Amino acid sequence: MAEIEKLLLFASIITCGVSCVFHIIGWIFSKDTVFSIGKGLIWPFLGLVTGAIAVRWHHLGHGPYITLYEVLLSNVWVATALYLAVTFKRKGLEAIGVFAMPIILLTVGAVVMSPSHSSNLTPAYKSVWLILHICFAKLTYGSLVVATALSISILLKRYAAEKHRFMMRLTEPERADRLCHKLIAASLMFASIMIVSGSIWANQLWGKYWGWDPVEVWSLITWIVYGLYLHLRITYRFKGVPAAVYCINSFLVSAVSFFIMPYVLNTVHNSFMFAK
Amino acid sequence: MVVGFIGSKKVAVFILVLVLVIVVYEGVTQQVTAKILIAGAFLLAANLVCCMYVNAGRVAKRSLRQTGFVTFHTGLLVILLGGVVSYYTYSVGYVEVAEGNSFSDERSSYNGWKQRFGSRKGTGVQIGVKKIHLNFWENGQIKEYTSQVVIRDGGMEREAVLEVNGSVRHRGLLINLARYFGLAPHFALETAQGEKEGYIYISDTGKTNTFTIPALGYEATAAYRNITDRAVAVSVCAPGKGWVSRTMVAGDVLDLGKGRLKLTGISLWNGITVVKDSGKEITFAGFALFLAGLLMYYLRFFQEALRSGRD
Repeated sequence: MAEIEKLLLFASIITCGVSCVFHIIGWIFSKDTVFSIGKGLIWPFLGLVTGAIAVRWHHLGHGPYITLYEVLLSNVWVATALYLAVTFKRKGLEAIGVFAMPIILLTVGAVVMSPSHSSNLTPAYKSVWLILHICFAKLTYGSLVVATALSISILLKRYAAEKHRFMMRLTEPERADRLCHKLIAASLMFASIMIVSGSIWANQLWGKYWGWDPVEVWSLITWIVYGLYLHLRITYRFKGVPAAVYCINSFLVSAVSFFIMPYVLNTVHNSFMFAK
Repeated sequence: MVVGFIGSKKVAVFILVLVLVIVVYEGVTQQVTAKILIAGAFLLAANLVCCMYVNAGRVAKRSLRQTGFVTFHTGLLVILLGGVVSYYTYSVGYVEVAEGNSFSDERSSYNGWKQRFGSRKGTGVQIGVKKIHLNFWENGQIKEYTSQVVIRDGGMEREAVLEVNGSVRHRGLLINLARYFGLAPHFALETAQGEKEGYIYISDTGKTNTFTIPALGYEATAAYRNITDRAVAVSVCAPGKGWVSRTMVAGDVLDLGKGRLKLTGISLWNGITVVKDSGKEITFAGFALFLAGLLMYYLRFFQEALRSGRD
C-alpha cells in the first residue's frame, strides 16, 4: 500500500511541476495550446492526489488529518479543488493558475519533506469538533491560496502589463479584486468556524477552550489580519493595489500560523501534527 | 456624537490595528501580560457597544444583512465578556487516582492547583474511580481510554464515564480525563515500629518513579515494562545490602533487613482534572451568536458568488 501511495505522490509531483512549467511557458510566450495543456494537467494532478489520500485512508483506516504529512497532503487537495471550483465556470480567470500552481507545488514539496510515518487513531482524535476544525482550516488555507494568486495577478497587471504583452492575459484587476474580496470574506468565515470548533474540542479534551498556545495566537492574528482587511475595505474603500499588497502579506502571516509555528515552537499542536 | 465616534468604523480600524500589534507581540515574545490583553479587549468592547447602539435601530428595517451585522458583533462582545469572566473565575485541580479510590473536590486533595483570583476551596463533591479501561494499538499507541467514575454529592450518587473527548459536568464543575495514566502498585511495609501502606504512582510517560520508603528512609525506584504485565521492577537501596532489585507481582515480599516490603496489589491509576470556569458558557453563547450573525451577514453575498459564472 505504502508503495502505491509513494508512486501516486511521485506522479502527482511530476504532474504538478509540468503543469506549472506549461502554465508559465504558455503564459509568457502566449502559446495557448501549451497553456491549455498546463491547465488540463490540474485535473489528473487532483486525481493523483485523491488517489494517494484514498490509498492511505484505506490502509490506515482514518482520514488525512493526524500527521503533518497528512494535513499538508489534504491541504494540497483542498487548495487545488478550490482553485478548480473558482475558475471552472468563470471565464478569463485561468491565468491565476500561473501563481496558484507554484504555491500548490511548494505545498506538495512540504508534503514530501514531512515524515510519512503512520499514526493510529488515538482517542484524542475521535471528535467531530476536530474534524470540523481541520476541514475548515483547509478551506481557509485553500481560499487564501486562490485569493493570494488573484492579488499577485492584480499587481502584475497594473505594473507589468504595458511592458510585457503576455501579462494582458491576466484577469482585469477590478474583477480579480472583487473575487479576492469574496474569497477573503469566505476565508474569514471558515477561519472563524475553525477557531470556534478548535476551542470546543480543546474544552472537551483539556477543560480549557483557549490556552494562548502559539498556534492559537497565530490563528487569532490571521483572523484579525483578514478582519482588518474587511474593515479597511468598508471604511476606506480599500481596494486595488494596496489591498493586493495587504492580501499577499496576510497570506505570509497565515503561512506562519499554518506551517512555521508548529515547527519552531513548543506548542500543543505539534504533538498532534507530528503525532508524537 | 461621542458614542457615534467611539462606535465608528474608523475607530474600529484603529483598535483592530492596536489589538493586532498586541497579539503579534504576544505571538513573537509570549510575554504580554493579561492586563494589556484585557485593556485591548476593553477598547474593542467599548467600540462594539457603541457600534451596537448606533446600528441597533437599523435592524428594524428587517434586513438580514443588518441583523447579521448586529448579531455577529454582539457575539464578539459576548466572547470578550466570557473571556474576561473565565480569566477571573478559572480554577483547575489535578489529581492522580488509583482504581477503587476516591477524592474530594477540595483544594487540599489535589496534587496540583491553578487559580489566578479568588480563593475557591472546592465543592466537597466526592469523585471515585471505579474502573479504568485502557486498550492499545500494536505499536503501543493508545486506542481506548475511559474511566468509570462515581460522583457523590450530598445524598445524591451517580455513575458516569469519563472519556478523552468526553468530560462530565456536575454542579458547574467540568471533570476531565487527563492524558496521564499508569500502574499504581500498593505496598505494605512491616517494621518494628508497625505497619505502613500506600500507593506509588508510576507514570506512563517516564515509566520509572523514585520514592523514599517511609520509616526506613531508604531510596527506591519502581518501574514497569508493560502496563498489561501487572508486574513492577522494584529496586531499594538498603544500607549494607546495596541495591536490592526484584520484579514483583502481587503478594511478593522484599526483605530489607530492618523491614519487609510487601506488594499487596497493582492497580491502574489515571489523572483527573476538575475545572471551574464561569465564563465558558458565556463564551460558547458568544460563539453561537457570532457564527449565526456572520452567516446572516454573508448569506446573500455567497449566494451570488455561488451562482454560475458570476463573481
